[in-house]
This record gives sequence, structure tokens and C-alpha cells, in this order.
Amino acid sequence: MADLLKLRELVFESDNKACFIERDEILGRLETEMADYDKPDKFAVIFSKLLSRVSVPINENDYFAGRVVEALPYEGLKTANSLLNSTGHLSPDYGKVLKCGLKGIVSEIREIAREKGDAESESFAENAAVVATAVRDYCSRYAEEAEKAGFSEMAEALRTVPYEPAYDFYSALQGIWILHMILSCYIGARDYAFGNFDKYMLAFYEKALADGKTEAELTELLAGFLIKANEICGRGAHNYNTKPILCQSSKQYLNIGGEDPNKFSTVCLKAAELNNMSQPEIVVRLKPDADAEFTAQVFRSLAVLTDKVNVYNYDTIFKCLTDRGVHPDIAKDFTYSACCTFDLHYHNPRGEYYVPTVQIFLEVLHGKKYTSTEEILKDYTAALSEDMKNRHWIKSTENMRQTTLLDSLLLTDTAMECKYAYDKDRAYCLNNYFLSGVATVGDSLMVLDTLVFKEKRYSYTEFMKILDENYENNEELRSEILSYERFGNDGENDKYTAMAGRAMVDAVDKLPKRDNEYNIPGFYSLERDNRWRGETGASPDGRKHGEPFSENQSPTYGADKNGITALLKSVAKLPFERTAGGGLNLTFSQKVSPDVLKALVLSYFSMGGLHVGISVIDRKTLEDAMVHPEKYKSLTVRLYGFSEYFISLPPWQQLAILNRTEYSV
Amino acid sequence: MKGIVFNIQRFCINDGPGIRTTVFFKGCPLRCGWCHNPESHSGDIEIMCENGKEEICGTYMSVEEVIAEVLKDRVFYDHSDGGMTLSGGEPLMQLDFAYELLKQAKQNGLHTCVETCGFAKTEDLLKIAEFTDIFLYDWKLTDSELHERYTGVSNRLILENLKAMDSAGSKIILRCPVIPDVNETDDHFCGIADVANSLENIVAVEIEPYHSLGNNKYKKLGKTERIQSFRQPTEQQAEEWIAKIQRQTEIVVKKA
Repeated sequence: MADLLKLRELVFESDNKACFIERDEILGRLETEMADYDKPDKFAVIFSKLLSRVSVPINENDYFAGRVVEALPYEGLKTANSLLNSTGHLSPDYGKVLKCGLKGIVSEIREIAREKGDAESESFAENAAVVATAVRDYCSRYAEEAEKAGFSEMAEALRTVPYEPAYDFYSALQGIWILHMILSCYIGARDYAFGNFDKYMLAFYEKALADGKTEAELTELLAGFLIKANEICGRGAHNYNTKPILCQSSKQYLNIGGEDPNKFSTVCLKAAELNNMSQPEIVVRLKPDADAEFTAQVFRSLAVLTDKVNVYNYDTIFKCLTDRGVHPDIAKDFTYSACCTFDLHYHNPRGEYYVPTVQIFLEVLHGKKYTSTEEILKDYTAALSEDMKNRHWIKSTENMRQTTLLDSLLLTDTAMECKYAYDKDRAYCLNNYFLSGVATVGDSLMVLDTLVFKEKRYSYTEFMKILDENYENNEELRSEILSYERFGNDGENDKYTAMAGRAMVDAVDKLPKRDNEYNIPGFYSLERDNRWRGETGASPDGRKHGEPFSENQSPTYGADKNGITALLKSVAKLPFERTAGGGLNLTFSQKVSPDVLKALVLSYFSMGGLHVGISVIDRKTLEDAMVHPEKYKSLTVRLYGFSEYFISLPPWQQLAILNRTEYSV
Repeated sequence: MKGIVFNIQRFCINDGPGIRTTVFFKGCPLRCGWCHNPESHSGDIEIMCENGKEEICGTYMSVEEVIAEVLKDRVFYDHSDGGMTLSGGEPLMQLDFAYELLKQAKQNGLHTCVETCGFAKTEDLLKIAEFTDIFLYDWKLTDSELHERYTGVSNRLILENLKAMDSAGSKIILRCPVIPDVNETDDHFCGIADVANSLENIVAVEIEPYHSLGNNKYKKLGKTERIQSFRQPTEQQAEEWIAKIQRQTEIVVKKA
């Protein structure tokens, strides 16, 4: 009997050390078996054999089939087998799968390959067919298992989808889930996203209503689908107590809203509320003038789900994309497929580069004797550009083309040209350039301008020496610097961080690019604000060597003292109209009403703000959770660009959350 | 013209509709035992001291300075039907300053609220009503003798003023602090409903459950002799009070 509460309990009871050993054992054997096999369909055959051998478990409480058997790792099992391995982080074209089935997609590809007539295209089409057939046969085995267990609707669906088109609401969800699970767990990677879910599922939802199903029934069914995203990734963070499984801590993003939110968009939010679990992350692409009913539901759900929903300013992002030459028809369907990582729905795989912005800033400062902030910024932009140019991400992903056959099939734009997802000349090459520590750089400029260029209390060389000595014997000066009004207080000094932001974005715009390439900046640090602290010397803003720098779009820790409205006004001064990724996380110490959240977010968006994610948590609870983790199994917080179980985080990350400014209501 | 204020607080969501900026006036004619803003009592600048760290309480500011601060959050008022609230202390203690602030706020298109204890000259209240969209009017104790015992003044003038404001058409939210063992009585709850029901322009009744935040401020002011201890009510008690009053009136009763 399908049961949401029991499925939820199962996730919380699951052992975070357990992992999907079966896959690794089979792949290990296949590595030997297939060692001498060198035909072009090698990886398609490996995929096929893997799918024919893995078990097909169903839990008695399941709404949908598709889970993996986990077991505690044995000694010697260290890393996941990467014979098949993708980087994930993309939005497959599930809409097309529902409409045409894998069979339809393969037959289109075959036709195109025939027209093109080259061996490479023929081989791509052959591989596509092998992969699709493997999925079909796997689903047939699952159908038999479902039949045996007495789940007739499930069995019927699995005999059809995703090889054939979906025929109703249930079969559509079943088809998506089984593919999603195969991508995440069998090929093995993190962060496959559901794309514009409300858009491609609407017709199935409407038909179900017309067939007499109620909204409540369909909402529960959808919740039964959403809960599965939690089952495949557990509650562990990827960077702590890691287990040998590629999709551990897989964040799975479900996008709703956009140009035309529909009645199914609100159902998605209600279903997420039923589960109230960290996965999937609900990304709302909100037009400030969107349908009032949808907007009201977004903020009702945000008040309940807090860190599990986040909101992007649709208009700002759409404008950024079209300004950069993306066709409006493609731009309007933009989605998020990973932590604040933006993409063009199923048109491209992810490309991202975390720019060491603070390190480069300090290198520039030490490069020559500057006399003005303008001069520094000019050199800073050039230095950033040089760094980005030299570390172009595409170079490192070309070798993945063969092992990611199913991914390639589902990025249909590229597939219809018989090209692999990671081919250089695919339809869209989209590169996210993530810029971290913008407030650290901005505040540093402010301090230099004040103490060295304007007040001339120190010569440039003297001040650099103070930095080299890590403020040693200069504690008084450091205290004075830390008392200055910094970014985040809606004051005059915000202009420095805005300038730093523009200099960073200018650097991205200076990059040479090909016609199919789009370079999109975003103010986003992920965990670099902490991870890079050891290699980043003292900065002029009073930050000592080894201290973290500012997180995402936020001020430096503790800098904002004038409350949340002042903070939002400050952050809105960043040049968001030229960015599409990254995010701003706000921490409230108490529950906030939907009306207040709505007013804050819409005010912020009207000033040009890009994104808001929230946590509702107070310091006392977090401190208690660090001491008594067993009491806080379901406690989530917003971390960088996603929701995370607090107790699964490493201590340094828990401290970073504790150090955030809390806003009271 | 300058007035003395002790705080301008942005992002207030319990001082009238929407997101508001509240300007706290220094100086109050009442001395309520449960007051959570004792730094507002004196109309002069004071020093507050904690762990040897001194903090000046009170600043003389011009109308223009205050308005400039208030206007910083206009975008948030526009998206929440919020605005500026004058509170304190008692804004009516600085009539001209309050009047000018409200006037300029209206000239800037802002929604305005005034939180008042009602202990002021009737004509003064009527004067500022011209530029006040909603009054947050305190109704602390129905029994006049008890009112005098706990606040230092009788409630007679306060009730007369309330009626005068109502007759003049001012929109009013009745604000009722409820303090266990002081006014947590059925008689007073009935009195609140009666007052609200007898008037034409009460838009809501708001209950303010007692909290002890004022005690620490008395310590910082060196006025520990003024500290009075009351029981801290639970959430559930507050809900029960609200339900009791709501049963006796059609006007919406809620927590402030």
C-alpha cells in the first residue's frame, strides 16, 4: 500500500554509509569481460549488460518503481567504479521522452544519421538504439516484478514507458523516474534536474482531472514521485563522510513558473509541502507580475518549506540571456540544474568555472604600486580574463563523450545532430563563470581608497607590507578597518562592491568566444569562500590569512548591521542584469509570514535583485544540533545553492552557517 | 525644528500594516509597570551602560533627517502597503515635531500610523489626525483606579480622547497589552470588547502579550528599582485571550 509517511521514515532511517555496491560489482566484472572489446558500441554494450544484471527492487510502500539496493561497504571498496560516468548536472529532455518515447527519439536520430551518412553519425545512432533498448528491457523486468508484487498500474506503465510515449499522469511520472534513476545511479553522477517540470507535465495533469481524478489524489501521487529524489541520494553531504556512490548528495532541481505558470505549478508546490524534504529542490522562476494565485502559493510554500524552495527573478535573467544573443524562444525556458548553476533547459550540458577572484585580486594588488581604485580595477579585469581564458572548461570534458550515451540521447538538440553531449561543436556551449568573494574585494577597495588613496595615512607600499605581515602588530588598525561601514548596510560604501562586481563581469565579457558559446557570469562561491581561505593571504578589508571570504552575494560575515531591508538594497546594487547564476541566502531566526516574504522578495526583484533563498533557524537550535545530532535528523538549512541536512555537514560548514547574520522579525 | 528620538527601526512588521519604519520618540507621560521601552520615559538624552560599555540613548534630529531615513525603505512600503509609524515614548509629547513629520511623510506619499497612549490634549490628537492614516491606540485597563495604579494616570481622558478621535472619523487599531495578574481578567476582556463595539472606526483589536525585555533596559539605565516582575504568558494563553475577546465582538481580534 503506497504510503508517504512510511517512505519518508525509510529515508530518515537509511544508513548514510550504505551504498549501491551492486553496480560497482557488476561494473568491476564487466571491466574484465569487456577489456578486449574495442568496437564503437563498447560503452553502449557495457550499459546494456549492467542494466540487464542489476536487481529491480520494489518497496511495499512505493508509489513508483525505481530504487537501488544499498549495502554497507566492505573493506577494500573505496571509490565508485567510473567505467560509466557522467558529470551529471544537466536537464534531460523529459518532455520529449513523454511525448515520443525513447523509441521515437531514436528513430528521429536514425533518420538524421542516414541523411548525414557519415560513420560517426551512424555510430551515434547505433549507440542510441542499444541504450534505448537496454532501458526498455530493464523496465520489462521491473514490470514483471511489479506484477508479482500486485502493483498492476505500475506494471502496466513499465511495459510502456519510457520506451513508448506516456499515456497518462501516472505513466508519465513513472517514465521520468525510471530514467532519472538510471542516469543518477547506474551511469552515476550527481544533480540531474527535472527541467521545466510544470510545463511538460501540464497536459497529463489536465487529462487526469478530466478523467475524474481529484487534485488531492494527484498531489499525493506527485509527492510519491518527489520523495524518490530523496531515496537515491540519502542525507549525506558530498564533502563529508563520503560513501562510494556517485550520486551521493545528488541535488535534483525541479523548475516551475517562468513565462507562463499554470495550475500544475501550484500543485508541484503543494506536493513538495506534503513531503517537506530536502529533495527535489524547487526552483521558482518568478515573473514579478506573474499570476496572483501562483505568486501567493509560491510565498505560502516558501514560508513552510523555507530552504527547500528558492526564487529567481525571471525578468532579469531573461534579459541577461537575450542581451547575450540567446534566442528568446530558447532563453525563456532557462532552468537551474545544479546549485545556482544556470542552463538552457535540455539544450546544453553544464559548463562551470569557479574563478579564484580574491586570490587574483591580491596578486594584482601586489603586482605594482597603485594610486587609485580605477587603476586597480582595470588591471583586475584584465587579470581575471587572462585566468578564465587559460582554464577553459571544455578542454577537460571532451573525453567524457563516450561514457555518457544516455545523457547525450536526452540532450535532444545535440542528439538530433548526432553529436555527443560534450562535443565541442554541439548546439549550445554554455559556460557559467562563478565569481566569489565580491564583498571581500569590494570592501578591500573601500579600505584602500580610504586609508591609502584619500587620507594618505599609509603609503601603498606600507599598506601592502601590513598585509604581507598578516596585520601582525597592527591589531588596532585592523579593528579600525573592521569598524568601517562595509557592504550590506545600504550606505555609500556599497559602491565599491558594485564596482568590484562590474569589474568581474567585464572580465567574463572580454573572453573570446565561438558562435555557439555563451559565457554567463554569476556571483556564487559555493564552498570556495572557505575552501580557498588557506591559500588566500590577508586582504585590505581586515580579513586575515586563513579567514573565509564573503559567501555568494552576501556581505562579509557580520558586516551587515542595518537589518534586512538595508541588506537587500545593498545587494541589489550588484550588476545582476548581466548575470544569470548565483544566489543570495537569507537567514531568519523566526518564522516569516508569506506576505512579508512576498513583499521582501518582490521589492528586491523590483530593484534588480536576482535570487532569494531562505533558512529559518536560530543559533540556539543549530548549537544544540551540533551537540545532539540524533535529535535533528530532519533539520535542513540553506547551504550555498541548495537545501542540506544540517547534521550531515562537516563542522567547518556548520560553523559557517552559524556565523551568518540572523534576521529577526 | 528638531525632536528627540531614541531609535529608527527599519523592517517593523507589527506596527501597523505591511513593512514599516518605526520612529521611536523619547518622552512619555505614563509609567506603566510592564513597559518594554523604559528608555523612552525621559525626554532627555540618557546613558545606558552594560558591562562597562556606555551607549548614548536619544538623538536630536531634524524632520528632514528622520524623513530621509524613513524614505530609504520606500520600495518595501510600496510592495507591502506599509509606511511610517511614530511610536515611543509618546509621540504627542513632541506635538510639533510629530505633526511636521507626519505632514512631510504624507507629502512623500507614505502611509502613516501613530502609536499613542492617548494621554494628550484632545486638540493635539485631532491636529495630527489630519496626516495620520491609522492610530494604534492603547487601551490598557478598563478599571480607572487600576489604570492609575499601574500607569500613573486615570483612563478618563484617554477614553474621552478615543471617543473624540472616533467621532472625528480616525481609523483606529485598539492595542491592548495583557499582563498576567494585572489585566488578564474577564472584566477587562469584556471592557475591551465593549469599547471596541461602542465605536465606529475601530478596524482591529490587537493583543500584546507581556514580555520581560524591558527589565534588562532598566538595568542598563541604572533604574533597577523600577523593575517589576510579571509572569510571562505562553503562546497558548495569548490565543485563549484572543478567543475570549473575539467571542464578544465582530471586529477582528489578533496578536500584535
